[in-house]
Amino acid sequence: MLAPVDETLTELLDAAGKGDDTAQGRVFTLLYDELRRCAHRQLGGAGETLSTTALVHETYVKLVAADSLRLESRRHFMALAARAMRQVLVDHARRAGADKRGGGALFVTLDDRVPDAPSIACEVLALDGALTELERIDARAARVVQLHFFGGLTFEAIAELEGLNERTVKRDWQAARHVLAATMG
Amino acid sequence: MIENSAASIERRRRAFDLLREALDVDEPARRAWIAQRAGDDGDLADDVNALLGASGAHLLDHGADTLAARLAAEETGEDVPAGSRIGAWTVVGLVGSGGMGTVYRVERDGDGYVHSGALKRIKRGMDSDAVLARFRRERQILSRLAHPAIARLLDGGVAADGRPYLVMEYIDGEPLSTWSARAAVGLDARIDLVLALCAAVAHAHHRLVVHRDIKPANVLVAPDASPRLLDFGIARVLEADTDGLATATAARFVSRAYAAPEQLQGLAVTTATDIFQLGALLHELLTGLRLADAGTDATTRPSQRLAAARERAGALGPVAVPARTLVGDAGIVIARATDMDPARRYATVEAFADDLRRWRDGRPILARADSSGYRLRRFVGRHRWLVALSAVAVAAVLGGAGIAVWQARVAARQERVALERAATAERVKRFMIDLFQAPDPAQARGAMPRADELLDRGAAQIASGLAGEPRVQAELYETMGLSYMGLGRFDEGTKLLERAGAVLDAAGDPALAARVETRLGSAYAELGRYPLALAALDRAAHQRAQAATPEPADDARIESVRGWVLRDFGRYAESETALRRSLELARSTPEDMNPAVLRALNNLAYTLQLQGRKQESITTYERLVDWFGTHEPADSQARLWAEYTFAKSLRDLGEPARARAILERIRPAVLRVVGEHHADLAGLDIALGQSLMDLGDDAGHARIVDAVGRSHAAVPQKNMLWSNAEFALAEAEQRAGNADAARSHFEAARTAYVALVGTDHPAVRECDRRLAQAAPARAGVD
Repeated sequence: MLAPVDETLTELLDAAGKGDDTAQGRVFTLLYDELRRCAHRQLGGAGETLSTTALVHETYVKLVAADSLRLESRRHFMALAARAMRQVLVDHARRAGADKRGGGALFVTLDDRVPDAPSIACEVLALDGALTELERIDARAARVVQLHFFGGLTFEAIAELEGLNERTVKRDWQAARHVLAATMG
Repeated sequence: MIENSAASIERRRRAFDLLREALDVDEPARRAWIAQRAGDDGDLADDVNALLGASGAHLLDHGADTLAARLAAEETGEDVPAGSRIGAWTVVGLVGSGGMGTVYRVERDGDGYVHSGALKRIKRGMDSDAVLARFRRERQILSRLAHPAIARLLDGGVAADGRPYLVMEYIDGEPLSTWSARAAVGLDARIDLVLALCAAVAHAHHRLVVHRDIKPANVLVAPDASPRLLDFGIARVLEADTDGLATATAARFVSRAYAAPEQLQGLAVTTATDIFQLGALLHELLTGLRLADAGTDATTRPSQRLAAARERAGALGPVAVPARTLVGDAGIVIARATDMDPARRYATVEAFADDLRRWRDGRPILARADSSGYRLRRFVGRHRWLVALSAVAVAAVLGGAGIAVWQARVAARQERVALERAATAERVKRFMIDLFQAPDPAQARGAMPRADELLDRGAAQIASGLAGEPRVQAELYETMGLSYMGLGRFDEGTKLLERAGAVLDAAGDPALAARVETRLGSAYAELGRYPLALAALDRAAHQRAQAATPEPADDARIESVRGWVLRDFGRYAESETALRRSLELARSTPEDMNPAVLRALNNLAYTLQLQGRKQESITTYERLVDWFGTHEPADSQARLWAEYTFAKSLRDLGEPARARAILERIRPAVLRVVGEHHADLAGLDIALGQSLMDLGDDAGHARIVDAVGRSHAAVPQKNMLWSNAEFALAEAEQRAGNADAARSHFEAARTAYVALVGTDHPAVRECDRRLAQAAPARAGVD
């Protein structure tokens, strides 16, 4: 089953690179499912922590042959993988919230109050919302945040992928942080 | 709220671009650089500076790995192994975990036996010092809570790892949701459980502690089906200090599914918040649906809503509670308890519990639209003149809780004080509602109890029912006293006001004491006991000086009453001085026209008239009446009073035609608000009769004779009102040529005046002059 996916993924990424929205959507779904599977597996193991960077890397290695992608396709892959990772975390946070509201009847929630220190789930959701806002103001800066934070890429790697100077990427990140902080309150 | 218009996005883009560039500028020069680049777009510079000032979003500091790890940890919970020590406590095992932290069963040796507790480790991220400080502050209050249905707070502190913890009494029970999901738990058991919770919450409210987070997760059910409420007062220990931005944060992270509207809006939390949450809890227990999820479908009648929610819950709802059993009053009880407006909810937890019991027992509930609050409002509406003439009475009682809530809002830091006021106001309001509730609501529907019956019933109940609550007693004595005054029963009214003053000696509330003394001053003045009135006003002023907060309106009222007393006393110049002082105190600006200003102006216009300063008096009255004409409806009592006194003065100042026109115009409205037997309607008819006689209309005489008869029937005490009526009768008889009658009535008026104010008074001199006039006329006839 993996072999045809390999082939298709490379093709899909090419198509996505040429602005094919359907192709983009399908790559995203693929990545999302894979990331979620990996995340679930990691979270299942006692004492293990979830490493998003490792996950993205693992997914990359698993789904595409390392050298077979042109820069343009790699750019698309990373952007989509970062977005998928963001989505995995957001969905996870949502589910955590849903559980807490009484989904699991036997779970003894002696205190499901959310006090003034927001739960991490709330913060993830707030960040997601703020990032969506930022996309409307400055798409490039939002992309930088997504790649750096959710995709785990260094500023240097982002600069290479995006064809920017590293300093510009850092500025985007800094400015974006201020705006996100302001939006999240 | 983020604006999303194209213009707003464009602005934010520009701010973002400028921000990005500004980051390249060294910080000391940054502001100036931004200002220069923004040019005359000062808003842009402000936006950029605000963005630069925004810090937070700290989860971005560590990358998504940390975030994922924390998400995972939050889900699985962290574990402190059995045998670990936290403070003085030894961990026995894990109980559960949730958004705020993890709960362990713990034990502690002491007093020769082992104490069990439920220890809650507060999660990281909360300021330990602040939590500890608040815990110390609250623990004394919380230690006053001793109720079988309240899990007690035992201990609290900061553990070795820096994380705060709280220890509660360990309850061996099951979560409410588990209990509720049992098929065997029937309707009665559910109601009984909520009633038990109500008793616990009422216990806390009487000690001025609000839970503010009542929800299923905070209730455990013991094997005997008795509930235990957890976390009482803990929300307060854990909350952020509420200044500035924190309000929004608090609103954002409150547990939305069970929060009352005022909590979501970041407004003050009061006892009404707990009532909302108890109502929401009842909703969930009966239908299986959370109130927040049931939605408020305005098209569904409250009586149908519960059944509809139960239908929707289907198999998830309580098996033993079919939808049809929920049609009817239960929905109304819950709708009242969970009203969006805190002021419209049940006044007290007891009132809610009482209605719940009524519903369970199949008796009519009190929360129906045509009862309690509504009946009280209707009573106030019908007896508005009575109520308003006595200036506070029932309307103030109704408003009292609202005022207290408002005070809580403006002074979040004085929440304790505000709560105390709210608690008093609610006790008073509840007392009044109970009182106005006829013994058998079914029978009394529609039939309004007579005001005097209510008062007699109430006055008797204050002393017995509210012993040990001097504040509440005083407020009620005051209210009832004023109502008696409004009914013309001055002796009873004065007696109750005196009693209010007496119980207040112990209450240590100079502001309230000043208010009562001022009322007493008015009461004595009504009775014509002027020296006593002036002494009470002096005491009021003295108490005001002791009061902590300035209340210019209260100061103004003292002077206003003083002006009235001095005027009746015939000391017009001093009266004018007092009234002008009242005006000064009442006004924040020269144009300010608040109720205290209006009252002072009305009094001043009358004093000026008695001084014979016609033009000044008329100008003042006109100003007053003009203001009322554009600001208050035609049947507002204050407006009617102003017009009535203006007309009386106009007649006395020699303008009978104008006076007559006003009096005839307002008479139907006055009749409507005071009823046909009231002394003020009689007074109006006297002035109308006098105007008619002035205009040469013979019908005036009969009118005056009739009206004075009614006035004396309404106010038999020989006070100033009685004397003035008697004088008017004498004058009418004199003008009608009935010299004997005139003479005897002038003498009666004179005797009454002298008893009230001594011989050195303009009214006495006028009587003497008229008697002297009458004598030669009589001689002539002879």
